[in-house]
Amino acid sequence: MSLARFIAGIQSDEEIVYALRRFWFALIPDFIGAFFIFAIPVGTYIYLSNAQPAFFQDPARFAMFLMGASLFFLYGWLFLFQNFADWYLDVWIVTNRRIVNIEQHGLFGRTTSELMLYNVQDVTSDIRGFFATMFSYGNISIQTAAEKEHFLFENVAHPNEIAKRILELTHDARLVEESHMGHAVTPEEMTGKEE
Amino acid sequence: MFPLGYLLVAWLILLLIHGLVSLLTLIQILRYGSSSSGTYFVCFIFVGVIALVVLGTGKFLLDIDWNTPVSIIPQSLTSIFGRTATDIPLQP
Repeated sequence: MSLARFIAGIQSDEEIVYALRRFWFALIPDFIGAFFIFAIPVGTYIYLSNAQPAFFQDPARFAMFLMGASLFFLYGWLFLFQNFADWYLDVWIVTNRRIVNIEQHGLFGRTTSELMLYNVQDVTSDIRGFFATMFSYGNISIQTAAEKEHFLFENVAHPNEIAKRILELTHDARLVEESHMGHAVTPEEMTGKEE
Repeated sequence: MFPLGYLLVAWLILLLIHGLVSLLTLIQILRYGSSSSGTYFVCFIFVGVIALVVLGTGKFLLDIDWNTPVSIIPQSLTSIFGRTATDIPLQP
């Protein structure tokens, strides 16, 4: 995937294992909302055509309706596309060395944070609710030794399998780090604190 | 009462604002999205629908006489507010 360009200082032996987004199901409320927005001008046209057939016979009145309806549709379409962009640009990238969290906030806000896999202490997957169980999506919480560092993958597909794989990658990454350091990674080294 | 052309100017201004915001959204998605055919396809659909709506509306608006005087307040309302004291019958 071309998402490698978003990982700062990617190593030659580093490979992307997962590029995750929220499950597509998260977009359904936006699409339902957009459907109702798009239905308003169409519904108004149908209603007025039937209730007051003379209404659209005046070309000026028809032009006014058309301009209003087209703007309504275009801004609704833009709203839908911006919600899609917000979903599309939120990405969690898991490589064999680290996890990169990229979040888009509106049109002009973007946050990128990352944590090294050898720092990960706990990975928890959580599937709650009827639809989440049926479609197999849920949250993955990744906790590091540092108390404040905490990543949350929200509503990703197959969280159990991914959590299991991240734990395996964490184990491998820790072995590689230990071989570089010549001794086991201590909790102080994980948190970066010197005791 | 004012010429219908005034509404056309307002429509064009709102269309311009829409175009600018759409352009910014497209730039963001192309800059930060993965360089895949899916990204380009979604952008193509987005621009295509906008073009269809604008061109379709424009086609209908070509034949309109923009000097036609219009009022955005319904006639029934103006007749209510337009009544003077002499129009109201005195109670016997």
